[in-house]
Amino acid sequence: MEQNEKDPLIKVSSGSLSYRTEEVVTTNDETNAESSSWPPRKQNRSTETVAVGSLDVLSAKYESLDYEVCENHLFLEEERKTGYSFYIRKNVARWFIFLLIGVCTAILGVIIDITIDVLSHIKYGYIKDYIDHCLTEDCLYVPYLVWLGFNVGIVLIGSFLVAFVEPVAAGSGIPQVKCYLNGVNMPRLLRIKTLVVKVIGVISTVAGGLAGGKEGPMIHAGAVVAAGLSQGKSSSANKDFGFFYYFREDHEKRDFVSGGAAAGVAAAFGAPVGGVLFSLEEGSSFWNQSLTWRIFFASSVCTFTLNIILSSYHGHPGELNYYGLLNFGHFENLNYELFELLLFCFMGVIGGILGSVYTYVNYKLTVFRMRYIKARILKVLEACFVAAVSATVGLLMIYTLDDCKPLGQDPTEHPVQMYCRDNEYNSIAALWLQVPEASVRSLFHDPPASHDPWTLLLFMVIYFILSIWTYGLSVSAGIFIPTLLTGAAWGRVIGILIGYIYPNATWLDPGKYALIGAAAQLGGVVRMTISLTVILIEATGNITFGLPLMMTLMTAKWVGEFFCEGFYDVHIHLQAVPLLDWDPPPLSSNLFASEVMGYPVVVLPTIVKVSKLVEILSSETYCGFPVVDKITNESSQPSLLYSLMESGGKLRGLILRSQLLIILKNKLYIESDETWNHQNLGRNLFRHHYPRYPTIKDIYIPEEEMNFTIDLRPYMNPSPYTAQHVASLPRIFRLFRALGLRHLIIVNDSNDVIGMVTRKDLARYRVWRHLGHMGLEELKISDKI
Amino acid sequence: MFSRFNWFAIMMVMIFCWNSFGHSFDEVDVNLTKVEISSSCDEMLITFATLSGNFTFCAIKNARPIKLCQDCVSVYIDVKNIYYSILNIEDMGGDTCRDKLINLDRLQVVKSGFDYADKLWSRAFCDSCFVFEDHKQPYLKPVISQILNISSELNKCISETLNDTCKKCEKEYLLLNEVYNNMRADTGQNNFCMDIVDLMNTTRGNWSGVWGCCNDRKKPETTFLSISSGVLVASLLFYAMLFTFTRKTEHPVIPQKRWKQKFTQRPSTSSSINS
Repeated sequence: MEQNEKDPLIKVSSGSLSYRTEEVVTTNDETNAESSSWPPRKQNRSTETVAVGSLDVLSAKYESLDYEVCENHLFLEEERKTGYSFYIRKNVARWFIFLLIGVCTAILGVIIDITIDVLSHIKYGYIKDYIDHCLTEDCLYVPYLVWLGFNVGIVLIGSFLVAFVEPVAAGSGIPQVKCYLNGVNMPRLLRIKTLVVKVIGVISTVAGGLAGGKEGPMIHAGAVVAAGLSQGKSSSANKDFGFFYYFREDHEKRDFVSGGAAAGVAAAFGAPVGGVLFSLEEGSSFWNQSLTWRIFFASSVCTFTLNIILSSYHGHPGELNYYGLLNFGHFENLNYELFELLLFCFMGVIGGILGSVYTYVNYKLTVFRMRYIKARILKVLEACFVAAVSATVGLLMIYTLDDCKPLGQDPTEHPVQMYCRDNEYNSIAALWLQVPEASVRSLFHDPPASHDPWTLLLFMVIYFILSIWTYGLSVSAGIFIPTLLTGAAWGRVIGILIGYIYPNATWLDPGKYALIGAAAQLGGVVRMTISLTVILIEATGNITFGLPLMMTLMTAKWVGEFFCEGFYDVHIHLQAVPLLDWDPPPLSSNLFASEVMGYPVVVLPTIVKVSKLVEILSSETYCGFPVVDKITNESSQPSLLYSLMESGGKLRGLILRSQLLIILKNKLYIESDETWNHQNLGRNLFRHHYPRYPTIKDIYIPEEEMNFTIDLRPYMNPSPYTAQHVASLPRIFRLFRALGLRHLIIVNDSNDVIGMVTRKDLARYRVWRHLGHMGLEELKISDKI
Repeated sequence: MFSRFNWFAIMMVMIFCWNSFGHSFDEVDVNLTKVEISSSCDEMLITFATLSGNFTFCAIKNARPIKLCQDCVSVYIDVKNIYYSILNIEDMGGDTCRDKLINLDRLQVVKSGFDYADKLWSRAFCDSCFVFEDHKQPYLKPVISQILNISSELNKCISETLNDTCKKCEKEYLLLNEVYNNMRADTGQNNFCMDIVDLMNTTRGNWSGVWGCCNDRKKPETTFLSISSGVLVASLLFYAMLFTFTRKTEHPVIPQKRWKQKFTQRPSTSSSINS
């Protein structure tokens, strides 16, 4: 990474996969001594490997989503048959689904919240009783074992489910949802099985005392709910309810999922606007006014439903005081003086540095886990160890630190006396013996004197380490709460220390500094901008505090980006997902389509033999094939370039692998009658299998059918997006990002197919930034990740 | 309801008497009613002022140690009653004192005076000290009086014994704690009678602070320490063992199909498929 601006734009990696333009031949022979021996490349490439956990590699197994509507013959047929009434019905159904998404996400959130509430109340109640009882009788190991048992037992359930049933449910789910909304098909991300595992997993994580939060998983859960509701079928349960069949395409589903993610944010933080902005910031390539409005509708419905149910649960039906799962509580007074903004920026700097440390250490740990902890049972074991250590560290801190505070001054759910006097309680115990969310609230709202700064600092360090350690375990856990708690702890310490310097300052409130610290830490880790600001504004319910929050987050983000990438981005890179950024790599206009594209391209003729098709589908992994008219050699213009660049033929259309598979499965041959029967079914034939299509191995084709032929013209997209071979990388990139493309066919001057650009061809050019330097690197691709 | 009605009756009698003796009868009848009404409200205002002053006096007098609930309950109830009378009493003219005294200016003296008393009372959760019954003065809940009794016994014990206080009075102290803890378990965490909470805090603070009892809480806890260090070491060992015994794997990089490779590679046969 120590590269300065003078180095070439593209890093030449150890392998020989990087090139400059034009003088390809000479450059390669000069720079790569190995490649001069014959046969140079083949050997070199076959031995090239990449270490597990590298950041400079993309996985070949991720596929793109199809946002483009395939305007084939069947589509036109269907549109002709449906009238405006269908269009209106579809729109009404859309609103109805967004309503359902809001309500269901809220209900899910309530279930998670209440279960965690009940479980942790029982757990901490027992532990407190045992501590109180055992302290004077030299049996502290009894509450310790009880604590250990609760932690390990509960975490074991969640971790087992995640490791053995659905590994996609691990972690917060935000990086994965972000990838999905970016247009990458994340396998199994939106299945109902994932949802169940996620919900149980997150309950077990928080109730099991791990340093994890329920906010990230809530967003993932919202996304799954949305995807499930909008499709009217479940592949996990193998049940097709038959309704909403017209929403069974990537484009529609993506819109619903962004609504679900927004509803998840809204439920988690009580922040409907923040939810909408989260979807906008993290997600969608497409964005329009009516979709925004619908998403806001879902978010508001979600917040409102959650509020009603939680208020009733807490015994105040109709009061609507519980507007989110994470409740920051009401700040009496969040005024600030002008000069405090400087302090806030300074805290933003600390947040950026600590956030980078968090990200970096967690990255190293994740790489370690990828390399050394591969067996599922080991993953479960690791989670149990962390749960055990969490309990151990907690009780050890309570045991060693005597930070006594008088009882009854601040609300403490489980005050434990430990070695304090009879009317005092141990303030460290108060922090440990409650869910982290409640600890955040304590740090925000407890009276100024309720925490000693040094114990708080120690608590922060310990919790910081624990939260780094926890993320990446095989459990469902988000990082919002642990990060907020760490930040709130050091923020409060700063507030208290300023209080020592200016004892008479009226503007000083440790709770306010705790809030700024929490914001700075979170901003330094996740590097979200507008959505995080708005989420925090909404969660605190104080619009006037928007400016300080924004400045803190901005400083934290900038300082953090000086050192390393955002937490979610690092994890996306570790998963080797071909994510497309918002903007093309800068200074890359000298890269042309002819270099970016895949070449030679596999093309299909308009009428293809079944045996040929099966052969191609079995041997190639491509998901889209240009359909061409065969060209004779005479028709192509013999020029230097054309003789170098093989052309596939005159472009007629584009057909997807999934379409070919369904054609084969349904035997839509020219020679068989079924073709005509099935054509009445139209697009529903293709919708029926969405989103999981059969593979070529699953389709049995009798020997005698191998000689049949298929006419691809009614099924292919006759007007696919194309680009000239001289188009630059930024141009292609913008086309991809704005239209949500999956395939872009590269043609030459005479509209002959010469190549194909897919997401991975673009995503392999990645900009790196480190310590003020930046550059462009070309990633490798591996199919084993 | 009844108490309110009761008050109404008393007030009317008072007003009547006051008017009979305090004012001359030579005024015009029409004026008389006017005076009567305004004087009744004024009278109530003065009564309210006196009573709320009494309450404030009582509350501050009983600030340390807190005995607000026990000592000021009667004054508080008086304040509350007169305030509600002001709110609700209606004279023959149909005007209420509420219209004459409350909601007329931005200062809202009467309301804030009552709010002060009422908030203080409710913040101290004083209602939870008493049993309220109609026709009767509120009386202390049995468990509260029990605690107070035990506490006075404990205090007596402490004041009588000169040395070895901890041992001699331990019985009372433990009993007090037990009753108190049971009550806490029944009523919920922080929401009960402030008098008792404060009493307990002071008693406990003195017990370990002034008298120095119960200060031998530290025990060796060897079992706990050994198990916990075992857990910490085990988790470190877990990682160390994984690091030592896991075979490192590398993923093969798959070749990418690019145009430029055409120049560096043996020319291959066309891979475009033509049927």
